[in-house]
Amino acid sequence: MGHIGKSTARRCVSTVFLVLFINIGIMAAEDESPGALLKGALSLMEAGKYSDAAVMMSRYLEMVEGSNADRVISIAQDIRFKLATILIEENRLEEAAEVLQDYIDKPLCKYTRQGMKMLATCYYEIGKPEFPGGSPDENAFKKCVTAIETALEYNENPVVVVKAVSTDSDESNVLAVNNKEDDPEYTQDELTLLNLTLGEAQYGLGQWAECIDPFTYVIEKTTEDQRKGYAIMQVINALIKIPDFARITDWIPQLYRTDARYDIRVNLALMNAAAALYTAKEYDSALPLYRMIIPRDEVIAFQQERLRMLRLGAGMTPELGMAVSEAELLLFGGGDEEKEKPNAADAEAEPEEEQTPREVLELENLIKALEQLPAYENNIDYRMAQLYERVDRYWEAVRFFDKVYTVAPDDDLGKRAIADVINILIDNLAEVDEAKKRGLDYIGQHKEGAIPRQIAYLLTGHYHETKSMDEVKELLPYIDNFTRTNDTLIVKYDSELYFMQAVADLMLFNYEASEKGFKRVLDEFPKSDQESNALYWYGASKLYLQKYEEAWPIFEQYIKEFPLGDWIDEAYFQGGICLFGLEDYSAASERFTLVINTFPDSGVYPNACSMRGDLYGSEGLLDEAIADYKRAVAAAVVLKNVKQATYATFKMAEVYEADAEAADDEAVTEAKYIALVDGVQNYLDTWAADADIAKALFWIGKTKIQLGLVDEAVETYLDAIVRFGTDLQQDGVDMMIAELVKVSAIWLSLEAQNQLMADLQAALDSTDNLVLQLRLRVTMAKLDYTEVELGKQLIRELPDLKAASPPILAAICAASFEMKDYSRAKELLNIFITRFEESDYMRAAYKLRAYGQYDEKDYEAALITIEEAQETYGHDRDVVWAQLMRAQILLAEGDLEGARKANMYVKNIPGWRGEPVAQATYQLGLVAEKEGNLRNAFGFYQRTYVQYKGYSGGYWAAESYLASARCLETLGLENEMIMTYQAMLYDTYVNDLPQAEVARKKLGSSDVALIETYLAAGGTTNIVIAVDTGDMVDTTLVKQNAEITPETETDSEEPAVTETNKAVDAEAEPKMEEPSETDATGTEGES
Amino acid sequence: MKRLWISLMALVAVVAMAQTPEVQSGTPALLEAINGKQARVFLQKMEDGTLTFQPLKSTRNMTAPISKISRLTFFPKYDAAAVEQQVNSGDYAAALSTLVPLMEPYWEYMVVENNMRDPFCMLMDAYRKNGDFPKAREAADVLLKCSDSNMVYRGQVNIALVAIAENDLETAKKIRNEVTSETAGLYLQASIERVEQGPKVAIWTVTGIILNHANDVEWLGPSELLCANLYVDMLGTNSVITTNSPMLTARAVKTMYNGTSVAADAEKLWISLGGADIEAAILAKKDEDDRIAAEKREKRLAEQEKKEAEEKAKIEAEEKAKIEAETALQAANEAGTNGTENAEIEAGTNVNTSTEMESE
Repeated sequence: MGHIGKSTARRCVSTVFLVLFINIGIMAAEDESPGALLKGALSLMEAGKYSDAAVMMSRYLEMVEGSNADRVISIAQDIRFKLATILIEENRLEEAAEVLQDYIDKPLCKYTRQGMKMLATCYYEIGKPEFPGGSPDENAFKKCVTAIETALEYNENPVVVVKAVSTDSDESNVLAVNNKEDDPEYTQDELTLLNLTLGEAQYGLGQWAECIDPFTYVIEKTTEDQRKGYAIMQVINALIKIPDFARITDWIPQLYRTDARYDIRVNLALMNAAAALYTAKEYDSALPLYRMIIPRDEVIAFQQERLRMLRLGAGMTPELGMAVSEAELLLFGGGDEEKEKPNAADAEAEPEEEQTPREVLELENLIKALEQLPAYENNIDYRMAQLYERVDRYWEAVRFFDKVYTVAPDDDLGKRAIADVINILIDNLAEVDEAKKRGLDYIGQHKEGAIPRQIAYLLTGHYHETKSMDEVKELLPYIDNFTRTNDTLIVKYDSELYFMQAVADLMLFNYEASEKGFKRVLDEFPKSDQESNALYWYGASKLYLQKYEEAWPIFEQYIKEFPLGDWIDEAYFQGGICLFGLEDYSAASERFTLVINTFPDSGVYPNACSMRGDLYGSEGLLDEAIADYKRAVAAAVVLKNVKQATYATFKMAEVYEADAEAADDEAVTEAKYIALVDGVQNYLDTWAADADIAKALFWIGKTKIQLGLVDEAVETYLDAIVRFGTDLQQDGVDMMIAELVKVSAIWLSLEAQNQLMADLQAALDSTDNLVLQLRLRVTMAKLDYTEVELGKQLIRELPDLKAASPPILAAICAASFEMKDYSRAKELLNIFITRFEESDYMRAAYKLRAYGQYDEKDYEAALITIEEAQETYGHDRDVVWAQLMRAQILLAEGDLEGARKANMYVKNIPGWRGEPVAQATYQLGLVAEKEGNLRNAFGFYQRTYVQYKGYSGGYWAAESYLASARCLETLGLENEMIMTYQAMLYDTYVNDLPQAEVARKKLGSSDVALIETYLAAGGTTNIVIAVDTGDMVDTTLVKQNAEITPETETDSEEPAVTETNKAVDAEAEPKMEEPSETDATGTEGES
Repeated sequence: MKRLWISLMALVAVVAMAQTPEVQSGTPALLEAINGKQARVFLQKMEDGTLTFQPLKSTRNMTAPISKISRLTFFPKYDAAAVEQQVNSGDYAAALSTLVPLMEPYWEYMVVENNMRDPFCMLMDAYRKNGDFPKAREAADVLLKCSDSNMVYRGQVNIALVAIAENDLETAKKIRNEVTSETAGLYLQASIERVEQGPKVAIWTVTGIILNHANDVEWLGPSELLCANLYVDMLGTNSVITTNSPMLTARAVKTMYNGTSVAADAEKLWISLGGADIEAAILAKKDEDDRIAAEKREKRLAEQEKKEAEEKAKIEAEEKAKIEAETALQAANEAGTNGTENAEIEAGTNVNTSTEMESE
């Protein structure tokens, strides 16, 4: 036998004793007397054979159950206590509880307090859920509560309790209160534990209010931070369940100060509690709870340190497999050094797991579980961000969302967070630039999924709200780069984004782009939420592009497919506009009537009334027109739509004015003017500050003039120009400027005109507003006829045309026209169309544009512009250039018949008499000359220089002299040609014009000297060249015409009539003739 | 003889004078030297790093350089909790009325480690919060001379905050770069930015404290209060920030830091923004709603009871009528044919009666 270790020897001895005890136990079991059973049970117990001992004890208790002997009772009670201890040790809790209940109920109970405590523990262990979050055994928990309440009561007053439980017992036992040594009062730790157990059981039973007291007791008495924190947490949970949020906030700071914050259960409970508070909108309480939640890694670190301490305290290495240092042992000790210190010499030492304290094992398991738990702090930060947002603490919200995004930019939470950041920056902080910067950065890098689209949508929505449509369009390239999928959400976002893009185009007046955009939505996103809207606006875009034929079926399609659509009334109405555009006025009128009858509450009702009123007006049905305008005005008031009221009111004013002017009876005229003023005044009263006051004042002033109140009208205009002239969109101001100029020229004395100029200058000096300054300057320029000069100055002066109102733009057009600078013609016309479509000053832009196109020989485009101008302004005198240019273009294109008709048309319009007729006559000569009909051409030329020499400074006359000389030369009528040149030099209307130089060269210096001497001597002559022109010209006509030219004195000498046979130069290019200086301003005709 | 008596009296007087205990002046304290020795002393003055004191029961002035003194323990008679409560309630004027006389004997000795530094710091803060910046700076200057880095730090922060309040941003910036606490540095930076660059820049810095230093108990409360004030700065005609932001922030600070001077200051701000009125109105409305609901409930219960009573009365009447009819029928049966007719008539009358009751 070799050497054995000390421990092995000890084990051998123990084994011997164990066998001995077992044998004794077995022997006792065979002997069924109580004494033997008792002895056997104790032997087995000492031998560690607890199960066998328990069986024997039970049998013993059964046998002595009926005994009344104090000694037996006392022993039985002792056995019960031991039996309960064994049963608890063996986790046979229900049996243990039964035994303990017996023990407590029966007399001579030595360890009553301990028994009660054990009973409560048994019931608690039986009752607690099998897994976290499971349901407790309510019955066991109720018994637990009763047991603890009894225990605590007994602890305070044992006599009373004994009496209560011993009513059936012998009187001698009633006062058998145990002495303090055997059954000492509960220690503070025990009381704390009992209260904690009571609180837990009550909490498990849903007795929220009841559990608060025991937990509060624990909080007040415990010295363990973890336990205290846990109890506080349970109080908070109970208060949430009650709910009693007001009391929660009192507990939070206390919890904050405990180490329980590092308990993962507390952290999880904190999350639940905070979420419940958040749901209950108790944000002030929820916020600190969220804040208290410790990040997972911090909790792990804390618990690892705790584990290290626990292990050291248990005499173990700080970590598994690590050696403990002497310093650590010195500082933290190793418990019972002799007992616990690992014996390195003992080769048969038990593995560490077997001797590891339960607390250490539990903590190790907890840490393992924690390490497997996904990090939750980002969720917490996200929740906190949401919470800050809820309580209007937007900057904090941004910071927290931002952090969530920064930590995990590719997680769902991170993606949501960046969208939230942008949303708050836009909606709540108005930090749009920052939102844009971040948003574009994000969507520039991320092209897939919903979040980039959501961000684009947020930005788009904001820009739409603020009408920043250029910014909307900036997003288009990003949207185009998004990866398209069939995902429902993605498709929905895309359809919305493209729809909003098209709307932006529409708002930017880029109708061609909006037309394409809405078409795209319809084609690429069929059946989208925006389908009906896209269809309507697709039609509207076409309408705005005046594609009436194409727009009409779109609106009809809408009416058919979306009879209950949001735009149904508008679709009907816009259909009417299409018909109007297609010049099917009767159908248009019917459609407007349909709208009026079917949609009396619609937003387009006033428009339909006004449109039908316009149609009635054009037909001369003035009363019907006024009735419709009045309907429109009344409906606009209900709809609170000032624009509709404005349109109807001023159209009504126009009708009243026309009616007044047409009336023969002075009283009727006055009555119409009064009705006009009443209408406008009613409009002003109804709409007050929202009204187009300037325009209303214009009409009132205009009517005052008609009623002879000129001074009042001037004052009204001047005040209104200064008052409202700062607003670019107040077109009434621009109308007043024209009216004021007209009034000044016609009605004001020189003194009054000077005063007006002084007043305008004073107003100009006292304003810093550029829009008003420009308006005042152009008014003054018009008054002193320097508008073109002003235009030239402004071309140099203005960096852009943003502050330029229509009269200023018109002045710039006039200046450009004079300089033959057509480079900005397109831009100027576009500004009018997009910003001042209704402005009367737009005619100047049409003219400049058409001349530019003509200059570039873009005849087709020029004809379109001419068409638009004539459609808009009809036979207005200052738009006669359009007709004359049409004739020139037709001539250039070889359409001689068309050119002839176009020129003849000018001659047939009464309003165009004078200078336009002079040009038309000359142009007729060009047509005839191009036809080869030189005599006929000569006739037109001669008529021009004889009949219209006073117009355009003699320009057309001079041109005609040269043209007729050219014809005579071609016809071979040399003499007549010479006489024509002579006549030209004798003609004081033309002889100092540049064209006269041609005549001088042809005649030679001696002839010219003769003529000049003659003229210098005061001689006058009127040479008439008689040529056979067929039906066209005769000398009588020439004479008569010569006589009616007032400035021309005719000589008594009969004019020589010469014939010529020379051919006409048919190849002569038509050329654009010099216009009069004031034509291009667009106001000449009116004045 | 007379001369002898006079001489004896004079002698007695001299002896008596010699035996009268002399009252020592100065500030009583327990002085602990760096070698651990302790002595009860009466402090006389502190000058140029030298402490002058008299040992107990001695009028002899002694001196010691403060580098040789480890700690002084004073014996003030005051209610520390009450003073703290005054400060924490935000009543700085009241706190000063207590602290100024209390600290007067100890002020000059603060440079040495002692047991009155906490109330001294309270005094310094109360001066600053009450707007007495020169005194606050004076107190802070004392702390700057301490060897204890924590005291120096507190003095620095106080001087910086005073400098910011007086728009002396250079001083504030200098201290911001010197303070060792990162959070304190950020707080000072935010306060400086508030003045220099406006609230938007400052709030970005201060929200960084809330985000990254949420466990800094010393600075989190003041940072949140600063946030509330920055939101106030952002209010304006065209601002998107409404009064709600500062009001709700102040309310949260008031609640979360209850019992501290920060909470008291937050409450003042909250009240000034109308928070108390709004909350009172909400509570009043809730009470009113509760009252109306209770009234409705009572009314409904009363109606229900009335209805039940009516139902019960109706059933009883019906049963009574039925019994009477049966009795009458029985009587009629017993009385024969004529009697039957009479009984039927009677019963019919009764039935009609019951119908009338029913309709009632």
